[in-house]
Amino acid sequence: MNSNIASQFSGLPMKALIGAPLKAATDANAMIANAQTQFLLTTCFEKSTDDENQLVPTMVNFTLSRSVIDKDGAISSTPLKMNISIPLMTLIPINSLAIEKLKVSFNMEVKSSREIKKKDTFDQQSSSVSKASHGPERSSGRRTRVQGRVQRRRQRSAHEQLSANEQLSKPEQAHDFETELHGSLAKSSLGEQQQSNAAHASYEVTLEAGQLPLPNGITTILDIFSKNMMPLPSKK
Amino acid sequence: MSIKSKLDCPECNMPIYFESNLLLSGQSFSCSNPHCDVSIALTATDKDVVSDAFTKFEQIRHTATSQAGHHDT
Repeated sequence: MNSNIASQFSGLPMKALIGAPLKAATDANAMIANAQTQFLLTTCFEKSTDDENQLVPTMVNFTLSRSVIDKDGAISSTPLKMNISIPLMTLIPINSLAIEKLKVSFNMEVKSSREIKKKDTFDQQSSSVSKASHGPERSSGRRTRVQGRVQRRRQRSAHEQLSANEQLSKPEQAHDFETELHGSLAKSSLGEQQQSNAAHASYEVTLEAGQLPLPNGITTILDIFSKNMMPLPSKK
Repeated sequence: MSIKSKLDCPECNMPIYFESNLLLSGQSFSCSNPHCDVSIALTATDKDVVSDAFTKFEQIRHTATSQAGHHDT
């Protein structure tokens, strides 16, 4: 079972699963770098007035204030103001433009399930009918017994004797009855078996791409700009 | 949206931290070195140039962020 689950991963397009996000991130970084370069060239640089093929940095003017010591040796109450020209490029935090982290998580779950259903149904039914019919019963012994009883009652009253004789002269009330016996036997059994197996397997890929450093050229330019920023006193 | 950045102090080379919104509003920023009393402020004449640069930079950053967010999902 385990080998079967492991074989499920062999057909995975890992190149596409891992490579596609990485390539997309790389493309995004390239797009950012391209846009950044275009931004630097069009916004932070301008064509030189002397040579159109030459680009010169766009400069912006700042006012720098600093305290000075006057001729008496004390700190002047009014700070000295100077103009300083700074390349626009140094104001922009260019190095923050990059995809810092890329994480690709891929989870796969293989579920193996087997279900066995066994269903036994046993149904047996039998029925039987038995009939019995009975006609009127006339037994001489019984009659004899009744007569005997009548003879004993004759001594009591003539009226009673008459009615007793009438009863005896009537044939006995006969009941024809039929008996049907219905019998049935049912037996039912239901059996079910279920077997289920589940297997999980996960596969996780984590990729991290760090922040792209600035190109050496831009770093050098920024370094030169930073070291050559000299304040100039304002002309009054 | 305000962009935080820094530039080196012309006097002591320590960083001067600033925010784009405050810089464009004319506010001055002091050097992070406690022994350096330099402060700088953008002149009003170059305000438009800097504002345009920050706007374009913000657009690029927004595009990069949306690209990264798309691939994360």
